[in-house]
Amino acid sequence: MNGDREPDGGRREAVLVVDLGTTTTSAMVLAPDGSCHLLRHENGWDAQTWMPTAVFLAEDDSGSADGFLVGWPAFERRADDPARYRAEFKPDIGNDVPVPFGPKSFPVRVLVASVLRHLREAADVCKPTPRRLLVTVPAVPGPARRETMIAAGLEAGFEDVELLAEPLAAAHAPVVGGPWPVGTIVLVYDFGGGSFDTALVRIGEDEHQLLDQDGLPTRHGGRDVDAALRQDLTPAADRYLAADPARGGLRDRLERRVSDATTRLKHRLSAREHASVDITLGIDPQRSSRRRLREISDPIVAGTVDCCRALVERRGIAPAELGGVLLTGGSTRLPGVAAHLREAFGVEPRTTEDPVLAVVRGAARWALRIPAHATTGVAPSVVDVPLKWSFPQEEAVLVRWLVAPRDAFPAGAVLARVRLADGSLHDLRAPDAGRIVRLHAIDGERVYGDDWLVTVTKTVLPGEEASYNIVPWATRAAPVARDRGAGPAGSEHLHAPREGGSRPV
Amino acid sequence: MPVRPVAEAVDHALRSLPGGPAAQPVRDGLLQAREALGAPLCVAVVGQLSSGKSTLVNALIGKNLLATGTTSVTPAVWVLRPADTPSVTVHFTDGRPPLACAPAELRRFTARGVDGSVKSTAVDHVEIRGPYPYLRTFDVMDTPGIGSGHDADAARHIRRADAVIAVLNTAVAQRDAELLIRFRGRQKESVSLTPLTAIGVLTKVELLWPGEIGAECDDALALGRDHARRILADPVTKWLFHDVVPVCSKVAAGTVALTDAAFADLRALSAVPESRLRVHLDDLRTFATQPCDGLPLPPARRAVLVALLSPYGLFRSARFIREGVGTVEELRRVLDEAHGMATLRHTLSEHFGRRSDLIKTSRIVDWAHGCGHRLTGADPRVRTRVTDALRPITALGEYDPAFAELRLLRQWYERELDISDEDGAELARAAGERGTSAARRLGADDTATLRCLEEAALDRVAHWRRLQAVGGPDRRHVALVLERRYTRLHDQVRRARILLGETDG
Repeated sequence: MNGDREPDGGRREAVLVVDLGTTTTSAMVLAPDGSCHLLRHENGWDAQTWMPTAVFLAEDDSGSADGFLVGWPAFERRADDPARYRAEFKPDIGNDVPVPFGPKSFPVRVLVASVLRHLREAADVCKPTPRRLLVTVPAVPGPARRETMIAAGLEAGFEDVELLAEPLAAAHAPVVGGPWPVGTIVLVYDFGGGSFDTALVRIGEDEHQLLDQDGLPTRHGGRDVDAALRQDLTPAADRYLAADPARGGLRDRLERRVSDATTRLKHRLSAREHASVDITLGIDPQRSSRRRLREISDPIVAGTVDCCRALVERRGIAPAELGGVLLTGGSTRLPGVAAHLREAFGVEPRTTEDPVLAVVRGAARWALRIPAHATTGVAPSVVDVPLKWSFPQEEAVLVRWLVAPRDAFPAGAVLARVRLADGSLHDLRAPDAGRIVRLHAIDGERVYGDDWLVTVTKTVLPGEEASYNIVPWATRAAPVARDRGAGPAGSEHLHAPREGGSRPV
Repeated sequence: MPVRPVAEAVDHALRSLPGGPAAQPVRDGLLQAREALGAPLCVAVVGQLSSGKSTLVNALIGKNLLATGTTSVTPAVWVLRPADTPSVTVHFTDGRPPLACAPAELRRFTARGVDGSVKSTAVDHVEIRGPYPYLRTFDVMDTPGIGSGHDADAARHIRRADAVIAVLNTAVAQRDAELLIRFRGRQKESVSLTPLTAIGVLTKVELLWPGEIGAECDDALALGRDHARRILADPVTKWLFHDVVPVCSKVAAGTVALTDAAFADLRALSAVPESRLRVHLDDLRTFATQPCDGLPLPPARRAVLVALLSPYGLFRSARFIREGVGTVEELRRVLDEAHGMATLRHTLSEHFGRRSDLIKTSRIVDWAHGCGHRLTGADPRVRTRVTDALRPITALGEYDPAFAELRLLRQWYERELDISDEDGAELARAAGERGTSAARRLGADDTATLRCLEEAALDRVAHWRRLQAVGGPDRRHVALVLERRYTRLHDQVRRARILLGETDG
């Protein structure tokens, strides 16, 4: 696919691919030569492949246009003034109620735009800088959420914003053990930090099909496991505070330390049978076991598996028809997840190299096929002809015309760009060279496959004129009686175009 | 969530739907939703036999309908609805069409095997319509007394009600409450007697007058409020009722039956100095049967007044007339406030009406979300237009925290939520259990300035935002919902301040 050229002469566009999760965000740049580059995020001592989905309103010293620190810098400043810190705002995307940050308030769209702008700036190391954004969204994000995400992308400075359903993206990710056979129905089990989503996807040759989806927006994320595990660490912190009344003022800071320690402990127990963690000096290291973590997480995991089971039953898919289960999201590392799924569906769940990056890696692979996401129009071979296109989905919204009326274009040129019902973009190409006569749909208008969208004049090559009997053509319709020569003296005699030859010009 | 925007969204959807048979199921669903939204609140009255249930129902509807004795001897469920023309309709459970009948025939249908003509299970309920002055915003359902042998029937009907009034006889309120708890335990599958829908009504409060020697009572309702507070403070009954409202039910029922002649007699008695009248009413037997020096009216007419209004009602009426009340209508109006019925009706219409609207809205929004599946296979243009038409409805529930609050409140009242009493009380308050104004939700004084309210909202946003990262699982979930509620309140107050020019935003 490297070196693919677009038919209008341009090379493949650079694309920034973003998985904006409830708790973490990761991004990749797809370069015009088809190579992919995973963005790294400095957290002060290391470069991480993801960053917290968080913003901190720093105003003066942020160095950003809108005053927001984003990602790790925001996370590090959260203790400075918790009122200016906000994480987990993804569920509120589309909500028109502004979020207070101390004395100021901002729409959630602005927070998302800040995150996307931050990533665009981080992607600046890759040349050319991506002007096209592909951002993943939940399978059924709702119209307001979808519109807000697109608006935030445009606000962040991208020229084109494209959405892709998260489970579809995940299904494109490289899976340990090799790709899924074409036709397989895969259950995508996306257990993230803030929520749980599941979907049934049919694997296709190039594109996959989303069959159905479900989810648990609350109480079933990694943060909920943290909250339960934190209960084990809290007594030690409480004893430390109670031991000396002078420590009362440390409560807020200590609570944050306990939270951070809990997350570290959970991560350690995801890989070991026993682990300990330091909260702070003066409190003994806190030990726990994988068995204890499983005790805590089991009810939550059981809830997610029930949700998957209900989805499979609702869709009427027999156990034998389910070709596989794909684990994505950091919380799939919890003990017991694979065992629960194995027991429920009788198949061994498969995973990607890094479940946290499954969605963004899959989306980047999907983006490799962006040049193929275009349709060439069909027209009859006459001089002035209407053009129509078929779309992969039944309907679309015309985003914009890329060629203005009266402008000429070469064969294969992209005349317009539409947004399909699932939020992805789709280009409409010209079948032949020509010139725009008239547009039959306007920007923002809903259009359907096989609608005639534009009339164009075909370019008449030198020598071709001879094959046409070109006659002057009345600009106004005339009554039949005049055509029979019954008109007033001096009136023009009108000719009907000759069958098979004469064409108006 | 107020019902008006919901009704407007449904109306808009009805106007925007495409014609033709494909969209007909959606049109039918919308029409049903519209009807449900317009239906009045259904209030069930439950209580032990002889707890004063019939008297309370009479007072609620504003007519002495149940004084005829027809209903007191039959254990049927009676549904009382407003209409200009009186009518009685029997509804059956065995599929027979409803039957209009004369009141005299009722016993045949409702005696449940007494005369052997009709099996006890055949009658579902008896609907009585009539010009009941107070039945404008709700219907009243009178259920068989608990312990009368028809508890299962009562439970079945209570489940259909939007709100439940539990009648607590002042003299034995604690015993009545315990009976209700046992009743709830037996009917757990079908009845949810929780503060979400249930209100306790302390009846026969007029019996608290004139108090004890040395602790005379001047205002029986105020004394009733003290009793109500004690009942609500009980660790068991506080999980049963939203509130306990005292009413002088006998006075209320008598107020309904006040005639001009009775008013004239009350006016005559009001000429007696209040202290003397109180002494006379203390010796009720003499007052109602013996000629007394200085007391106007023959004893028999004094007896009629006492029977109608109770000694306390007579005493208060005389005071009102002494203070200037000049007509029977005026007296009814002031007594309505004094005997507590106005407060009860207001609570039912406002608080439970709003609650009922929220539940109905939640059902409509869920239904609208599922409409896409029902149109699978229809023309894409029809599907799109239906989806667009329903969009204002589906958007209603997307970000409004009211639905999540309702679910949390239900869990809290069922004691399934592991949060402190303090957090639970704040959840109830923020959810609008004590009033839906910004001040009430924030727990502020009604006279608090907008600036104070804005600061209070910001404080709570910061508080619950912090707890998302440091609380236990249930507390974290409550924190996510309450942060959204307080963010919304902050926005409302802020916009009000901008509108009033207090701040420029």
